[in-house]
Amino acid sequence: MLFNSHIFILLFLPFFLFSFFSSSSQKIRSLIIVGFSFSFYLFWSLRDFALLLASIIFNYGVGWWINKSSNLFSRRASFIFSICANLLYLSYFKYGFSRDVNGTLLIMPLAISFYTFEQIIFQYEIFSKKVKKINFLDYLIFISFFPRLISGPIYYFSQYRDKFHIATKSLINYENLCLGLGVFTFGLFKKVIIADKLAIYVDSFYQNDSHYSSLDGWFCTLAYTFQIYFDFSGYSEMALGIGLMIGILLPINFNSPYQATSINDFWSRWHISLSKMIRDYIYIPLGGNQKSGLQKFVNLLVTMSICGMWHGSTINFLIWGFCHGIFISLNHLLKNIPFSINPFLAQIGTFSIIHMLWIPFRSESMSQSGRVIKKLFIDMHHSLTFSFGKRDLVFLILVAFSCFFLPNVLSLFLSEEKKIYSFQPNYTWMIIILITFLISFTGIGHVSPFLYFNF
Amino acid sequence: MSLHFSILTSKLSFSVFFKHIVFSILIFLSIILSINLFCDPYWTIRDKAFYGSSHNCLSTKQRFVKALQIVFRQPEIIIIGSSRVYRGFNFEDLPYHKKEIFYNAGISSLTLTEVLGYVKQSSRFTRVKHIILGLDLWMMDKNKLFHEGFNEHLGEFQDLCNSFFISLLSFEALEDSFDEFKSLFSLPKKEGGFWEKNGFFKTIPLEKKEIDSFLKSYENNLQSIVIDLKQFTILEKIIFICREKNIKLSIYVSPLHEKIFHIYEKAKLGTIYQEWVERIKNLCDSNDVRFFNFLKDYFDQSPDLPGSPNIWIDYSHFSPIVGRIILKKILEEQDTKEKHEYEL
Repeated sequence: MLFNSHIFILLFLPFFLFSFFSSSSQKIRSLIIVGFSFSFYLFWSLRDFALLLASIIFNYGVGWWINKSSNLFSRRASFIFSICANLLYLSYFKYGFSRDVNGTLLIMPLAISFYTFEQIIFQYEIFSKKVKKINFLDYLIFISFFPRLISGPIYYFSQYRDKFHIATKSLINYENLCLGLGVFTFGLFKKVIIADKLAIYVDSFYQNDSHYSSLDGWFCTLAYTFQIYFDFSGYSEMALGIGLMIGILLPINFNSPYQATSINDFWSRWHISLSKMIRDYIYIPLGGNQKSGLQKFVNLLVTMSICGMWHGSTINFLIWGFCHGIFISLNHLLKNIPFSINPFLAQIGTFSIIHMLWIPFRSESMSQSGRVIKKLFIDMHHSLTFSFGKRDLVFLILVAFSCFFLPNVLSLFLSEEKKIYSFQPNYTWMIIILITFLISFTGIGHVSPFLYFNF
Repeated sequence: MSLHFSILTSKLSFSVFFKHIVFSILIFLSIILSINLFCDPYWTIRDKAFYGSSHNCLSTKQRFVKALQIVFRQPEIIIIGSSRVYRGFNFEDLPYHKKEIFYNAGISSLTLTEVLGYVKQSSRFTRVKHIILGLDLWMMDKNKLFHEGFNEHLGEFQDLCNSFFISLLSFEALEDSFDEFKSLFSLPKKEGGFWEKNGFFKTIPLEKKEIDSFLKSYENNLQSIVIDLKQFTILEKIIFICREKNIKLSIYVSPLHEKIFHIYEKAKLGTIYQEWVERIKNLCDSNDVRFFNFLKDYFDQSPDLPGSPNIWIDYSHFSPIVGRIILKKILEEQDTKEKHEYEL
């Protein structure tokens, strides 16, 4: 089931909220969350559900053992065993080792990267005694909580256990419901009206890039740059909105990333929960920026390459991550140069680099990436015909404008600072949310999955 | 003016705000639902054109409409194929209890990949007992695995639910409803004919000029076709699904007008055509599937057929008279019990 489907919006979500708020017992509310989360995941596949359940039971069991054991050797051995087992499980499905009897590649279980990494961090939190008390129901809610089960945001058990306790005890809070509805609605709009429309151009271009001109190439690669942002941030905001409705504020994943003025700045605004995780659990353990100059850059390259590999097993993702690592390193070097760049120019420069790096990320293969880049820069003079209409161009310009200059959804609804555009419970905002919801809901065509479901 | 403005900006309690917005959403969705149910532009529950409206979207959105109609009509016998099927097979002249069991799932330029989708949809969500598949060579075009509007998730429960909701609550459906409604006040444009409840399209007799221009465009389209015989694996999948679900499958190759056959030969597809028919026959024989080659029967042995206006709608589409003969021949080979039940 997808957030942008009629079944979810008309049946699943209202029924979930009704069930949740009609019970006052903390335990029953917790069970309702688990029950709905499992049924949400079960809609995809029984096999994936069985694997998820097995992974949860295994990790809880090992975590319980590490927590209980007082022997350091036993704790360390169990911890290493659990990390290896989780990585093996992830690699088996994600990196092309899983095949059936006929040699056909098995489909990767949905959300495997997200829940496996969260469970690895859970093991680390138990091992490092950040978490001292664990309860199976708390753990079930933490891993299976449906708004963020499929594509994050990634969160930590140590930070969210108590939040779930508070939420399951609290009475219905209309402020949270209003904010949640607003954030969810804008997320739905981003996915259905913007990302899915951009997907039409992007998919047709990448399915047959040789049929398109250089100008089309620029149009479609830019369209993908915006598509991936609107698709993923739309999903994250829908997740955040649902969480908010029951009083859980999930981590914020996007903060106008295309308004970044450097690559470092970009990574503090893009997929924030993943950036934070790789910083805390890969970059810092490698030595982070405490090491000497060269070692620091090597750490950056390794961290970003792993980040790339997290997205997929092909060389494209590795190159995407590695190139980001290079630009982050360059960014660090440029910090020492005693002149400042105009913020607007810095924003354009940063956006251009990010745009180019999305090409290998989206391409089917490296050869396609090469072809597309060549089309953009070398084959320019061959063909300047534009296969799309004026409306499409205007649409892309409006989308770009909203990315570069408008406040993001979260600053409308969740910012502490009250600005003129901040959400207020009045009729103006009621009309805005109502119209946005109706446009988005009635705009749902054939339900398309979110891009980050592939990762 | 300032009073109106102050209403818009006056602060409400969150509880009132939430209740009002949920209520407003429900009201608007109910209005959309009522309009779409009343106009029913996709004929999911309707049997006839809305007070003589144009029902154009049945032609323009065939892939979406027929995927839903198959489920709503719950037929026992489905005939599936290209426009040759939806123009060629009518059951309207059958007694009511007999015609209700048929559904014509012919769709313009249907490809084999798309056929697989509709077979999945039928086998999963209908009580179908017998699928009759009309094959044409272009269904295996390598360059066109499926057309715009085809839903790759046919046969999935969630997708069926979503399609149902789209037909009732989407803005697109609302636009189509509005077009239906609008057509009441203008001269309805009948795009070449009329749709029937059972999926048949009753073609208005064409003028010679139209028939000739069609032949020209047919010839042009054929130039870009690349036949991929590897797509027989899709046919194997269709056979497998039918066998697994205990659905009888009959496959036939449509009769061809000699002008069309000459076009095939001109496009150097004549030999491939013969090989293609031979391979289908072998595949059917080895899988115990009934196969009928009407190309052979009606092209070679019935010289009076080509050129007769009663038998051909145009050079590509045979008329319902031929459809009746084809259907009769296929159903004649049913078991005695079924033969009686479905007797034409």
